[in-house]
Amino acid sequence: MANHDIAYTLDVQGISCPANAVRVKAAVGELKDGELLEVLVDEGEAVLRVARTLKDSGYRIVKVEPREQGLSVIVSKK
Amino acid sequence: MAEHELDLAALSRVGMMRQKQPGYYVMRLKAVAGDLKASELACIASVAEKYGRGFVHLSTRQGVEIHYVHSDNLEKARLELQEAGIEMGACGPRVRVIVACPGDDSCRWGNIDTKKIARELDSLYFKQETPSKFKFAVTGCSNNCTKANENDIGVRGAIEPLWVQDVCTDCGLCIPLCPVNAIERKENDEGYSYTTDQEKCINCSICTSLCTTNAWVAGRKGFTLYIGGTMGRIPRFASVLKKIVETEDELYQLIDKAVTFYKENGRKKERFGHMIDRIGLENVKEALLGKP
Ligand code: SF4
Ligand code: SF4
Ligand code: SF4
Repeated sequence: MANHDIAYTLDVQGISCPANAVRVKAAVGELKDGELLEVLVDEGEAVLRVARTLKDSGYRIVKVEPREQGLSVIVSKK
Repeated sequence: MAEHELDLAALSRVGMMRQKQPGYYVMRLKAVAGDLKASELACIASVAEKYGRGFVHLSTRQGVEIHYVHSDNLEKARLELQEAGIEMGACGPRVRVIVACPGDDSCRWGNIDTKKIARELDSLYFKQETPSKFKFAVTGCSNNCTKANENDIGVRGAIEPLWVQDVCTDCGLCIPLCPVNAIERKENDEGYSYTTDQEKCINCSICTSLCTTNAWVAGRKGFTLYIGGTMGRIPRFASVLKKIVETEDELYQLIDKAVTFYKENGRKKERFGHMIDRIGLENVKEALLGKP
């Protein structure tokens, strides 16, 4: 992603629910103001679970883009 | 009473079914929307102990059945149940007990008051004679726990998503979230917009519940009305009669037309859905909805 400065990338592809969401939650917890986290996640049930967790814990989804396999989800603090 | 003196058709009308064991019957009880009071359960338990074999069978359509009741005891058992407010179910070619999920009473996904609709349908149609058996199901949302499309008439809660430009941050999340790829982003003169293809949309509420900025909100709310579903020997998934019925009044009007049409056109022992296939779905839809 050209105009996003990504502080960390977390790959939870192939990790099943709810473990994927648990890892994402731990990783976003480390984010400082203005930092971006990129999460690589499978389509389907996995992205649903991760989106639910991010919404419930009040994070902002900046951009979601398809990759060759799975999705890139860029997250920041509110 | 001797076996040969019993009128089996009359018994089936009041929810009693002959077992393969001579002299023994199943008592099928009515639990609209699958709800029973604790006091009713206590009475059922006592009747099952006293006249059955101390167990009840839970049927696939939320029915409660007391098995192994001897014909000599059917009337006594029925009166004891009646005393506690429990009615008998139905067997044979008539409208069966209305099934429903908990709906918006307690389920966080529920879009409609399933129990209220089930009770209304019960008071309108229960036990009415139909060409073949006739089943209603009411389900609160597109998770479809009560399997609306396996029933002769299915009612399903539905919310049509509506996009609100002001709060959308153009993150793109909703596109991969939609299970049927109904969401599309379009560039236009004012910038961009997100739209749904209402032919594809299954009203699942995923977009409205997961967009982090709540840019998808509930637009039109209502009921998806299914007709002609059945499982059994010759399964047939129900057809959508109308995707969003917006008022309860219209819902009941359409259901009434459908039931009347079936009573007038269905052949003996022909299920509603099979009648629809014989007459043609488009013809039936036209008869029920008027010309498009
Ligand atoms: S169909 Fe929907 S409202 Fe009904 S129980 Fe299932 S999830 Fe809940
Ligand atoms: S998820 Fe919400 S904010 Fe993101 S693009 Fe879709 S409507 Fe807009
Ligand atoms: S309600 Fe469900 S099916 Fe319809 S557009 Fe939203 S996510 Fe897609």
